[in-house]
Amino acid sequence: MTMTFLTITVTSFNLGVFSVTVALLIAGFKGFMVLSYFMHLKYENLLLRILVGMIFVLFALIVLITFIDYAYR
Amino acid sequence: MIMSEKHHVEEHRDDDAKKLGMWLFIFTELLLFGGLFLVYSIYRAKFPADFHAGSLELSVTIGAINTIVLLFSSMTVAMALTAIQKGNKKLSLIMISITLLMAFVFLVNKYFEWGHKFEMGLYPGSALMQHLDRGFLLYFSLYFFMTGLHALHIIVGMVLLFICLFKVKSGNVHTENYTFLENGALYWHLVDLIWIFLFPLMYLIS
Repeated sequence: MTMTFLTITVTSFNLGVFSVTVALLIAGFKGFMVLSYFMHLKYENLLLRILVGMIFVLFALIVLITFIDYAYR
Repeated sequence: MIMSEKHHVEEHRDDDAKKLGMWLFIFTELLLFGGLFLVYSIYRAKFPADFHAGSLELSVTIGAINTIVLLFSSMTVAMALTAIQKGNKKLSLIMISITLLMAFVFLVNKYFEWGHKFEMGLYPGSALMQHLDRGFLLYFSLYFFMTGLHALHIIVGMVLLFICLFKVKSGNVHTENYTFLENGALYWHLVDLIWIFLFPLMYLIS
């Protein structure tokens, strides 16, 4: 099972013109796979999963607010 | 005050708390690197051309190899944990050793990458770097700082895993008490996770 995840997550980008969004999406997916399976989050109790989710929401908010601030300077 | 009976040490063990503790620490690490990624994002938005040109100096091949190396090592450390949960001490030791070997390979690659930069005169504080344009300076400063901090985490992770290796060997970590290895594996997965984002953002700027 873990081998499958490995092959899924090893995507080679060496073909240039990918925009940031796509790269980030794929990285995000990879990260999610690592988190769920390798880090066992899928099988952990609900509290941990909620906490991890919250941290990412927090980070997204920080990024959003910073960009809004920067955009209107 | 009534004296309570003397409790055996094992009764105070709390595996869930230990795991939660590691996760809380992982949150702080995520925010640490998250902050750095934020700095990176703002300045990349500000100097897109320089960031792109800067990324051309990096070897995508070595970066990709490192990505594969770390992903593989994440798999082996997860297998080490499963092995010890099933009581297979020997397999666990082999898996941890492979993980450590992969970590070492990663560091060797890093050594070559940075060595190449140093040869070019590109290192923090160098004359060349001080005279770079703003965008380039930001890119390479961020490159050295973020990959350097990440490499430091790899080293810390290796130390942790070495301790895990000895604990499994001595029987301290076994099928009934594997939280230490579990936490070590979690930390290692974090290091891998950070690299998963670091690689495309540093190396693959189109």
